[in-house]
Amino acid sequence: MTAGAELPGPGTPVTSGPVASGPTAAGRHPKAAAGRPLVVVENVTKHFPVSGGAFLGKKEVVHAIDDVSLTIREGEVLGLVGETGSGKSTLARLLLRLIRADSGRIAFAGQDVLAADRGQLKALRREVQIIFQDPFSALDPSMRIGQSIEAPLAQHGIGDRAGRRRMVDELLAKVGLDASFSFRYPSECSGGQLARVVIARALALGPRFLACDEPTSSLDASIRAQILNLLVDLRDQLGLTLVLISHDLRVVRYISDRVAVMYLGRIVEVGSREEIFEHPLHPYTQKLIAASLPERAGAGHGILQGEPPSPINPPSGCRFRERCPLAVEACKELPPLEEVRPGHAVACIRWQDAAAQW
Amino acid sequence: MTVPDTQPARSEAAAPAAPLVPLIEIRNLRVQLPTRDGVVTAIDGIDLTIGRGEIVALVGESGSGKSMTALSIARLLPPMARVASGEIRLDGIDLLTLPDAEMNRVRGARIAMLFQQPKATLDPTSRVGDQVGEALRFRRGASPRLAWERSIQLLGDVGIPEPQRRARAYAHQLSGGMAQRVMTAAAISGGPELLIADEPTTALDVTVQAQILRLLTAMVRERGLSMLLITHDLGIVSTIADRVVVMYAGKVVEHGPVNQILSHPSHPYTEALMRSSLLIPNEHGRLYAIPGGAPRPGEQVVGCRFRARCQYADALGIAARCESAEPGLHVCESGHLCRCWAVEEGLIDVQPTDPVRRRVTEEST
Repeated sequence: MTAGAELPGPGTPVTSGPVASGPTAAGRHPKAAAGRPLVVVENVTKHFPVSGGAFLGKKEVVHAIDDVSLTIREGEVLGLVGETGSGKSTLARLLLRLIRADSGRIAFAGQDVLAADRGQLKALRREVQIIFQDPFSALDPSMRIGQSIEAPLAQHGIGDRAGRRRMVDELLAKVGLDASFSFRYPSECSGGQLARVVIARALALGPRFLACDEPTSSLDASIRAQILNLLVDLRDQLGLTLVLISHDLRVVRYISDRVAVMYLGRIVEVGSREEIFEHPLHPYTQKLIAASLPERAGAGHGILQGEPPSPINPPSGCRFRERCPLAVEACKELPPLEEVRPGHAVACIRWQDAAAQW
Repeated sequence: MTVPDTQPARSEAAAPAAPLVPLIEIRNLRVQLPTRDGVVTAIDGIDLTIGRGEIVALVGESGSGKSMTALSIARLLPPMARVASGEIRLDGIDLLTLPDAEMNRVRGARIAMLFQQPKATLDPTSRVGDQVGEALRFRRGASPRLAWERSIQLLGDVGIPEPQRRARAYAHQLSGGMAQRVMTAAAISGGPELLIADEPTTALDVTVQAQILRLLTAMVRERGLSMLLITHDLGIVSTIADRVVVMYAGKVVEHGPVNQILSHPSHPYTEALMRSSLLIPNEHGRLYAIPGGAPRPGEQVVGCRFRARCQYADALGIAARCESAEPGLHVCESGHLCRCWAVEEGLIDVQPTDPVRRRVTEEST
């Protein structure tokens, strides 16, 4: 197996504090900054009923996604950040229509995803793929690696058996594994190798869009960098559009062109990577950056107190206000997500004060 | 007690310079596991000392043997695992030869453990307050009533709001962060001397991770406990540990004070692990990744176990040596040990400005 391994620039001190404006995966790829919109999400809402919540006639619902709008352009990498329960994984599943949105509109390459019939949905899923967090549970332990990668090809009736075998070998090569892996079982591979296999399977149908749900969080640090390098290579080679879901801001900072921050089912801030990491405007984004990139935190940024409130009965108005150090009476009104700097939108009435303290 | 929202609780003076009174002494521990492919040596002769009041971080990738080491100390190894040799002493008593009944009294009362999945570790059928008080009732002989009152106090200490009410809650009513606070309260309730924390924050959100780390450090420092922190996250290590032990493929490869190891690691593996975990790209936009993977469990390796992934062996022209004989743990400075031929022979300096280190870095870019 070959693995992309390179050392940083000469003399790079090992413990130096990273600089957010340094080179990134995005920086070396001279892609069109303004690709056409590939995925358009408009006012999408998804609530899940809570089982047993009908006690005394009062039905409770989880507000997983509430009135979310987002555009993903062709060829870009969008980082989706948030804590557990923020709705980031639900959003990815809605895009693939693995679950159906309650209301709103989702379009992929101009096609209405919510209204797609069976045939259209099948065609859509050739173009849109997802990679899940845990590569161990994403593969059938009783199937050889080659069979797992071949399955989507057979499902979609592509090629004959010999042709599909050849394609499997090519896919393995693409993710840096040799053809002998075809005959192995998942139990005979390491976590890093399985992560590559899962990526190969997602690429089998030649998708344009790939959603990666915490693709590296179950991997060791030394393997994580290999997989991120691979994702960036594949993006460059295949012109993929990526959504990367992660709560690891180091990963997001490296790989993303744009970043959307979610909190309890709503997008609270969205902007270019530089904007989000250099000039975070939402108090929640600032706390997230302070927690995971301590060397980037401005003075006086203590750790965030408390935990996200339950998405079953989210606070009225701004959902962050109970944990927010800047909250005032007016935060009881829901703040709209507004563009306040070029390409940078935030849902906070006190963003100017937040910016001043960063 | 409340955990103050200020700078990390670790004080600069916390790192002990003089050798401490040892609490745990592990000597030449070897643990083997039978598998379909034969017997696998998961821990291959490690030595480790934890001083009283000291926080030691055990760092390594999955499969390096770090969790097995922790389980060995608490004698909670899976039933098929076998301790082939070695001893583990707690205050001079060999835990490995202790009768089961006496070992039971050690767990909870002298050694407590904290695991990665707090919600899976809590008993879903019993109230949180009862679980926190268990060690008091069964190890310290407290009455149920006293144990309950003390539980409420401990729940307050670990930052659970409304401890009176929360003591009556069940595990499923808690968030991950709250569950880890409850586990912390349960772990310290019996007044242990050693707290073993196995990836205590890995399953938690980043914002909650910071809270739990601060809580753990405060609890350990205030009560003068020793802690063995097992993690693969070097970021955690720098904020709370006094000493770092790096494991690779069942062996300790580097060992020393946290400031020394993190500012200039000697072992090529430690250096590579730190560089890869920072996720800082070079000017070509590539991340540094350690090539290849660790030897598979049971794989026979002659010579240095890191050889196949090491860039120094070739650069220094000592590959033949690295491939034929395994290096021993060499003392670089007092209290700083490293298992590497290049370091032992003085071919590379610990400093990153060392000419060979720089050359290797430049050549591989």
